[in-house]
Order: sequence, then structure tokens, then C-alpha cells
Amino acid sequence: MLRSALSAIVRSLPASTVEAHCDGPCGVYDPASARVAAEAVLSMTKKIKALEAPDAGNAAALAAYNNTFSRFVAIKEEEAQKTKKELLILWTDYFKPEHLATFPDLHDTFWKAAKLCSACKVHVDQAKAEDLLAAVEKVHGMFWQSKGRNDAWVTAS
Amino acid sequence: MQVEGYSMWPTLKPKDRVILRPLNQDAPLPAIGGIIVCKHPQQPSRRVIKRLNAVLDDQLTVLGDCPDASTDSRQWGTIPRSSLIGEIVGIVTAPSKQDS
Repeated sequence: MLRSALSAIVRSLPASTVEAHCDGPCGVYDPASARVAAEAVLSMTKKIKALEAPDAGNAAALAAYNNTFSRFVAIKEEEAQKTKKELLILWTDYFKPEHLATFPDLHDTFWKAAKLCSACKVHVDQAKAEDLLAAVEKVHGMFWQSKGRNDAWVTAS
Repeated sequence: MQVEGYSMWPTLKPKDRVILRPLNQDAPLPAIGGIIVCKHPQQPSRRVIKRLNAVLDDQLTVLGDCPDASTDSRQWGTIPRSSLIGEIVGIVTAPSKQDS
């Protein structure tokens, strides 16, 4: 009981802040990393869809096709994972609880974007890849608005 | 002082209060493994809370208890003793939802 009372007293006293933060040492964040990776996901999805399988009897062509197909899928997988990682860094490290007042759908936006990263790995679905890029664009808008800036959305491809 | 952030989780979580014993430059260093408050090496106006991991030639190695959520000597390198503000001698945990 005494301990509880003392704790209550300590908690009621004014206190300065001490940080146990996890922000990067340089404090540099930029959704461009996620945008480049998401663009790569869309690009690889289009390339996979555009691949034409060779005739069954052409072993050399089939080997080349399988090799190219595998590489495209591997890159799509890798870039989707990279997109998710970059989004999670922004979500968990950059954005803070106070941003929720300005962006009440912040968590939902990131959650859906992360889900789209997974969907782009599971499927060869251009619509999902385009949705992912659109989700990253939304994050881009929220991010720069939170910094009081209005940086244009510019894609590399 | 009131804690912000998760780098010392599970020992400390946001809104926990800590009692700081200030240390001047002549005071003995806290024991290795103690929790300290020091100035952020790149932004001295910020005060950060970490665990003292090692001391060598007045250079301190500090680490967060939650490596995935901490920026510390792994990124900063060692920090000078002159950055040390004090050591934590008491913790008052924030009330949990069950307490309210």
C-alpha cells in the first residue's frame, strides 16, 4: 500500500523527458525507398506476364525460359519484401502517435500496403502491384505533409 | 524523468518514471549493467536512456535492452564520459490498463 502510494506521488510529479527512442541515428527517412521497390514489383509483374513459354520440345529454349522466369519471380519477391521493409520503417520508426490526429487512417493505410506487398509476392497480379504503388503514393503524401512539405510524386519508370 | 520510446523495453516502457542520480565528472562511474542517462552524441540537447555495457578510457559503450528498437553504441560508437548525466536509481512503472 505504501509502495502504491509512493508510486502515485512520483507519477504525479512533473517530470522531464528522457528518450528511449529507436529512430535512426541520422534521422533520415524518405518514402522514395519504398517507391522504387514498389515500382520494381510492378515492373517485374508486367515482365512475368509478358513472357512467352517456348514450345515443349525445345529444351534449350525451355531452359532459357525457366531461367528468366525464375529470375523475374525472384526479383519480384525480393522487391516486394523490400517494399514491406521500407514501409514498416516509416510506420514504426518515423510516424508517431501524434500523427494519428492528422492522419486517422494512418494505421489502416500501412496495414493494407503491407498486405499488398504480401499479395504481390503470392500472385502475379498487375492490379495488386498497381494498388501497392498507389498505397505507397498515399504514404508519400502523408509523409511529406507531416513535414509541412508538398513534394511531388515522381516515378522512375 | 519520464520515459519515451521502446529501446529499453521490457525493462522500461513509455510513460514509466525513473529516478535519476546526477553524476558529476569526478563521481565514480555507474556499475556495468546499470541504466544511465546521457546526452545524445549527435544532438546534445536530447537526453537518452540506455544500459551501460562497457567502459574503456572514459569512453562508454551504451546499449538499449531492445536491440531492434534501439539506436545506441552500435550506431554511434562509444560516447564520452562527459556526455553522462547520471544513473537510474529507481523505476516507477506506468500504471497498466488493468490498474485503471
